[in-house]
Amino acid sequence: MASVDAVNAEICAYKFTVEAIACVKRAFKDLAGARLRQGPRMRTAGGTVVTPDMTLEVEGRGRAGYRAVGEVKSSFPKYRAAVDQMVRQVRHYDGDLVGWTADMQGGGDRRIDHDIIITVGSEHALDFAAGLPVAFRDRGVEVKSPLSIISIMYRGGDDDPDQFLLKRSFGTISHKKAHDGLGKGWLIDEHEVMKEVDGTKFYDSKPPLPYIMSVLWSQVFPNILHGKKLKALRIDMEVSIDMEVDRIHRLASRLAPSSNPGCVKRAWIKDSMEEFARVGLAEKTGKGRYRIRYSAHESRPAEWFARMTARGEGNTGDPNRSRK
Amino acid sequence: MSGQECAELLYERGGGLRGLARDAEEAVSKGGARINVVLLHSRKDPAREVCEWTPDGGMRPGVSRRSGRAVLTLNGRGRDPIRIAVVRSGSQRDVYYALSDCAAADFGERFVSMLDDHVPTISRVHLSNEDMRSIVGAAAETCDVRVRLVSSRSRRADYGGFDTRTDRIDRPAEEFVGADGEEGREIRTVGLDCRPGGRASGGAAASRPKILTVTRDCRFTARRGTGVLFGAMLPRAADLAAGRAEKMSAVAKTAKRRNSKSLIMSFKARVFADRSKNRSHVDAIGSMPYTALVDYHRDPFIHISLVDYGDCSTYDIFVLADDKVGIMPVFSATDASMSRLVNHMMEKFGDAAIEKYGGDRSGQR
Repeated sequence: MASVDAVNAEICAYKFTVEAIACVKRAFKDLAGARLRQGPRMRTAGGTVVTPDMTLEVEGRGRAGYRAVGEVKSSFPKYRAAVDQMVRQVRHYDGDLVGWTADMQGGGDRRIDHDIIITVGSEHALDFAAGLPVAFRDRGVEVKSPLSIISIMYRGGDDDPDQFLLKRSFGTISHKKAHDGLGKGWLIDEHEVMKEVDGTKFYDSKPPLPYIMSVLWSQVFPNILHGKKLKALRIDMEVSIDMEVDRIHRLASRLAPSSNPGCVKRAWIKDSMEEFARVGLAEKTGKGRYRIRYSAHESRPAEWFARMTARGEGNTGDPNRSRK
Repeated sequence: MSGQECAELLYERGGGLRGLARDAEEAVSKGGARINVVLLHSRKDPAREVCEWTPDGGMRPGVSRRSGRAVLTLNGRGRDPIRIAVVRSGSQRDVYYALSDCAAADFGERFVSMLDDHVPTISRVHLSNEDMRSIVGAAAETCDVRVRLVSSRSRRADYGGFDTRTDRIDRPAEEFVGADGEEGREIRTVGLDCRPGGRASGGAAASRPKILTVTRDCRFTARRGTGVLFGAMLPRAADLAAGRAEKMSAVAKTAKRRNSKSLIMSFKARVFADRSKNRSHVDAIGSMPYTALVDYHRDPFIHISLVDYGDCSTYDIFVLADDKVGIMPVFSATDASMSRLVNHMMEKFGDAAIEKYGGDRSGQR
């Protein structure tokens, strides 16, 4: 059973990824004029479909052009299987990928290689710088693409506005200005990042269920309460909202990054609605239709739902689920 | 005319602001009444909004209207009814004054609390020290004013309450307006004594220092000096309220846009300097009534979402510096809700300047 603290940590890691992508986007826009795409679908030479957290592209011939795939990692994996998976992921990114959008043609037969950039919280930068080469060596993997680790550190205090410091803490970036700029460290005002992530609550990876539920509860459902329903909410304490999964999905998709508006999957919403129904906060009224029992619940929704879903796991009788 | 009859004029006679000011003057000078006033901001007619939002069953007030003056009658269960006259301020379209000669406790508990609890379209104004000095300054421009009472408080660390102090003094208003005040002390109430066009009253009045008061939540009482109240203090407060509402409105309007503007609150004190207290800071924001809060991070910086169930406005809130908070509306927001949020933040974290922010700016220095 996942504890509330564990869910909170997951939510924190999820939001870190959203903010880290915004930081990288800003830094590479300033340093290289690069355009960032979130969660693009790409194909390896072997035909495997991969979706890196982001790609960075600068259109141009020969040396003027630049390409990179980027991943954000919240911490260095503890277990061998997870390290294997991370190494496998990097191997997929190392080598030709199909699915770039910027035009790089015309430079003779010279293919523009792409970089692999791994972005991590600064407290984990050392783990990656030390652990990643060892992980590759142990598995006999040689990465040909330029690989770098960028650490993100939050700088608060003093009289300055709070900022994020992005620093290349390992490896090389084949764009010289980005390599040098990030080598010295690149500062971005927190407000710039917040403007970027304003309303962005999702990226292309599925967040913990209590997180989706609390975003729906605190951002999406209130958005459709007007007039009489608002008054009823105050007076009657509970109102029913009839909604189709498709509509909820459409509204939730407005909380996706503008560079990847389709990243919120309908299945995430469907799962969340089923969970709302299971814990008694909604009722399925038809195919893809739910009646939500909405109330002005004043405690923290994320913790509220974390407790509910945690309680539920013990009662499902599903033998595949942990009963710890 | 008896004292009671004089007070009745507040509710029986018609007329907008000027009429009400005249009737208030009669009520206090001839009727010996003490009047209570609260300043309200509302996009729509507040009397109608009160009736729209208050639940049925004894709580909903009766309304009568006479040319520019609405009178609300609140019937309490087993208590005497109280009446409130509501007029639009002269200078600001969306600012209204609600006035009554009822007991101060009734005015606060039965009327003002009802607005806070039930009517999300009406907002109130939380004044800063600077605003309060400005309002006292406005009074001092029209007549001889002496400050007789200053009630203030300072915060204990970690939201452990306040140390309050009431100073009974006798100083010219100009001295009070020009003073910087003690570091970190919030002025809660200022009591004034004034006599239009002349010297402040002495003698017997010295034992009654609260002749004309202004409190931090933009409420006023007057036992005398309604001329100064209506002629100088309320108009200054209305201008302050309208100026702030304009900034909120400019930001709230952008809520539906993808790249909405944000409101930046710059606090006088470096309230967020100690990041180890982030949990207390988040709890303090989350204590805002009728809201729910999703906190994404407390460490190293605060980033939370907040829904105000009052009108279902939704925000992202983040600490930007030791003394700065950004409030960004997401999906939808109203200026009334934003006022509630800003008032709450000022109540919890102290005085702040408010600015809107949204233009392009290079993040690199």
